[in-house]
Amino acid sequence: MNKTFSNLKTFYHKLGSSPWFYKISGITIPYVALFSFLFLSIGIVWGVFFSPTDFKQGDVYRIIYMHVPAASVSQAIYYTMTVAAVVSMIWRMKMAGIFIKSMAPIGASFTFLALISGSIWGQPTWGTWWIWDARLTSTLVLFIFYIAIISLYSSFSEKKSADQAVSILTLVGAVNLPIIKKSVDWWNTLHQPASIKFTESSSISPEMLYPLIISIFGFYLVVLLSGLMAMRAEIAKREINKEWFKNY
Amino acid sequence: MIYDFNDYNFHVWLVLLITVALISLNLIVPKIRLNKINKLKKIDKN
Repeated sequence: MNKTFSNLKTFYHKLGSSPWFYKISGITIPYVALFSFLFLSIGIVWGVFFSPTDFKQGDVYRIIYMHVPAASVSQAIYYTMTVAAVVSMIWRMKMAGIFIKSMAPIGASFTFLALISGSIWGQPTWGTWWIWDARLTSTLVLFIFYIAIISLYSSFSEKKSADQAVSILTLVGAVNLPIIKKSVDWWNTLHQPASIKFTESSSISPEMLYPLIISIFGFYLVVLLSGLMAMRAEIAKREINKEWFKNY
Repeated sequence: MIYDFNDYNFHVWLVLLITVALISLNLIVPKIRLNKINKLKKIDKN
């Protein structure tokens, strides 16, 4: 137990080192790329082309294989950014700032995908592209927070100040996360409650559920891959004049 | 299967297209940024 804790502590300290992260991410990226391509293509191809047609919605329900994973990762990215914001504020760790700066555009793009795919799905099933429903509105607020973080960061010329300001804004935005999660329970919404449940049986047929789980896993791997790539680019930008980077 | 291209299938194809475009963008943009910096590094070395 003590050894595990000690190893975790060492790993945490190593994460704070940009040369170490740059080197390790360079080694892991090809493997992550391979697995993300594998899971994403299996999940989406299985779901979109081979899963059974829904008896009520017909084929349009297949948007689920892109919409649900995108919505899931868009919130997960913000959760991780919140942890990084706490680390950045308490320990002033440079890598935490780099993480927030790199992940915000990725989070924004997946939130945009969740909103746009939901809208395209809503048109034939709800009869409207958009409604000021609690789930949709809180997800739109999440998207606005991502954009605000990106804009705030670019308004600073000094990186340290930018990291601190962005960390505060990220923490403010974290209030929205439980609201998104609970919006379908707290208010009467047009959006359905969660179909995949961990504590009880899911309300979705296994033939449709398996490709969905694989697709969700694929999306998480793609986020990991794009996150690693974006962080490497940000480290390179910030450390271009450092001796270790010149000799790498 | 969704090979027959009716109105509702168009919605699925559209979402699939946007998904592929956004994922590609997320991978291509950092790659280009890093390549540019590495080019600068090479010029600086020479």
